[in-house]
Amino acid sequence: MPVHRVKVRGDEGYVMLRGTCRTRRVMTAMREAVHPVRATLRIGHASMDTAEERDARGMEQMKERIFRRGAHGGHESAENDQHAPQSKFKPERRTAADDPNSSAILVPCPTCKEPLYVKELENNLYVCPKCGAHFRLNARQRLIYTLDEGSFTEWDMHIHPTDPLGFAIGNDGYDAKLGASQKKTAETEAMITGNGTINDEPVVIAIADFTFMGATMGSVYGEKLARAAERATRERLPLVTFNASGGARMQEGLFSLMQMAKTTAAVARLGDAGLPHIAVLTDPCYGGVTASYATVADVLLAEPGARIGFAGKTLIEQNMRQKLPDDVQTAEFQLKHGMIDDVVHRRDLRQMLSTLLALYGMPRKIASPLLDPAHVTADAAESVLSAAHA
Amino acid sequence: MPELHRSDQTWERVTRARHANRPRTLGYISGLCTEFVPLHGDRLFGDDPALVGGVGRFNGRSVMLIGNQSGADTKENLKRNFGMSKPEGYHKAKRLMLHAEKFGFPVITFIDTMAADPTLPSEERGQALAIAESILTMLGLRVPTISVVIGQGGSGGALAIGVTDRILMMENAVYSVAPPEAAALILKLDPSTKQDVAAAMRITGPESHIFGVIDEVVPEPTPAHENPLDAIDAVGNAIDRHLSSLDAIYGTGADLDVARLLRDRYTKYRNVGQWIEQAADEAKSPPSL
Repeated sequence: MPVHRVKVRGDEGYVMLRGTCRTRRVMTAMREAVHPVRATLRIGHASMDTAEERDARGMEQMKERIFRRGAHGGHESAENDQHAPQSKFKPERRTAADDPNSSAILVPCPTCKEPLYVKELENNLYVCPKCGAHFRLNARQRLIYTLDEGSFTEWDMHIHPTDPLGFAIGNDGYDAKLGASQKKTAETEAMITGNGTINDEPVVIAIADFTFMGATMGSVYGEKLARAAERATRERLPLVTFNASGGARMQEGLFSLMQMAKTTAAVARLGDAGLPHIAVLTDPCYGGVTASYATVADVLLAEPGARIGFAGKTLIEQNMRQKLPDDVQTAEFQLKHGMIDDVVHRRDLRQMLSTLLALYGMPRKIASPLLDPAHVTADAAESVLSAAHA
Repeated sequence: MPELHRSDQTWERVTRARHANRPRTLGYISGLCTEFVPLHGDRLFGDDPALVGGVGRFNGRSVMLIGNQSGADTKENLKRNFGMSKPEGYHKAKRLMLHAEKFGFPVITFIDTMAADPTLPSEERGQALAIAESILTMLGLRVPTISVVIGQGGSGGALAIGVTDRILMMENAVYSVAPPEAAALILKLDPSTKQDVAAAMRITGPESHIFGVIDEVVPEPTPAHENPLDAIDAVGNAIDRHLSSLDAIYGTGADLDVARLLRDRYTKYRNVGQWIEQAADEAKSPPSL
């Protein structure tokens, strides 16, 4: 089986080909091998050829046999991408992690369609090793990948959702939907809060679970988050939020809308106390969450490829009566437009968070001149000290 | 549980809230203020005709007035983007609110928007962040604030100027987490169910009042589109009453108890929502719903 070493635009990689391919196809495969995002495009395009052509040229086999070096796929910058024929690129919902009870051994990457071993995915933080696509994580998976092992203590598990409006359309009631979601996810609501450490840096963490009703922000989401922010303020701990949301929870009406004010108020108090709020926007993050506490965070990070915006794309397309390009509302799009601080690959996220936590840390590890008794009253020194030891 | 509004009753209110002859923000401002100087622009990008504001004199006192502005006809609606604000609108609102704080003017806002502008240019300029910043600004304003939902209040686009010490709502106004059409889309329902969705979300003034989200319903003995002057008077009286009550509680001018004002505003929004708290030993099991 021929193995070709190829170099395209400064990137090196290997392609292994089976069967006979025409030169053009080989070159395409080579390009795919080193430019994984484009690889998806070309293969997607090629597979639209007639079945006879595809068989004759062994495209399917070729697709299976393409390897590439490194795992920098999700990290391709917008500059590198601009020549790609993006109109042909149809990103799929990344849902393989949605079902924690699934016993499947192999799942297809929803973006590049490569069959992937679940075990391998788990070891790779649910990032496709072939194309770098970041799968969605549920809140528990996110906890495992973010906090130091065994450091997590969950808070406010006793807060459960209710159906304040008696919301029902026909026979489709909110309480039934809540029950079904609770059964499906084994969570009580779409928000998990608690404290723990990241590389030994103490932190309060709040994680939205997209698998629970699209992590829409209802009363419980808002209440748990507000309590977490308030407790972080009291205990003088920084707050890290992982946000993914379809927006407000329609079934809770105005209560849901007002959670925007509530959560913003709670994180604003944290800020007034001089404590940092670091928000990570993950796929997908929309509506009431992006238009409230999440985007007013002190540091705003996003995972590669995460869809982030205010209005949903379908709504925008309906309103503007035109199709939007596929790269709008991605993390990279938001970075380009100055809306977020950085796009961080999942494997670098833990390190990034602990670096930030150390940088924004309280006087815990710093000898402050304020502590010199010659300069301050006993009261002030005590308050600084108590802050330092909190 | 309040009495269930049949969907056609709710929809009647939606129709009235959207009526072309219903007075809008500039109508209320000109009816309520003896003087008014409009202030334009966000000092960053542009001026949003869908969100108007300025300094006026209301009952002898200088106040900052801000509101969503749609048009009475198609031509004006096109100019004002059907009352749907872009980021520059919310940036302007934020600027005017901070301006009011600087001079100690109470802030009065009029909510009348279906939603924030859902277009690509608005997304590119940070629609979500603009709304979030406006909410954040309102939560920390060191002057008393009152909002009145005069027509349609929809989504974060409305809340962006609605995080106030008092929230009033006209009897035939509606206030919802999303306009019924959008909510049906979000819930993946057929567009024809918009009336049922509107009813299920309990978007009318009386219902919002029963749930304690708003502070007062301003009655409309005759719908505002039939008798605009009476409606404007009624809103003026309600604003005056609430402004006086805020003055009585928190003081005015140099005596304004800012700490208490901010604490109470925090509590007002901190307490919104309904949930069940179970005893710790039951916490593991899902609630029986």
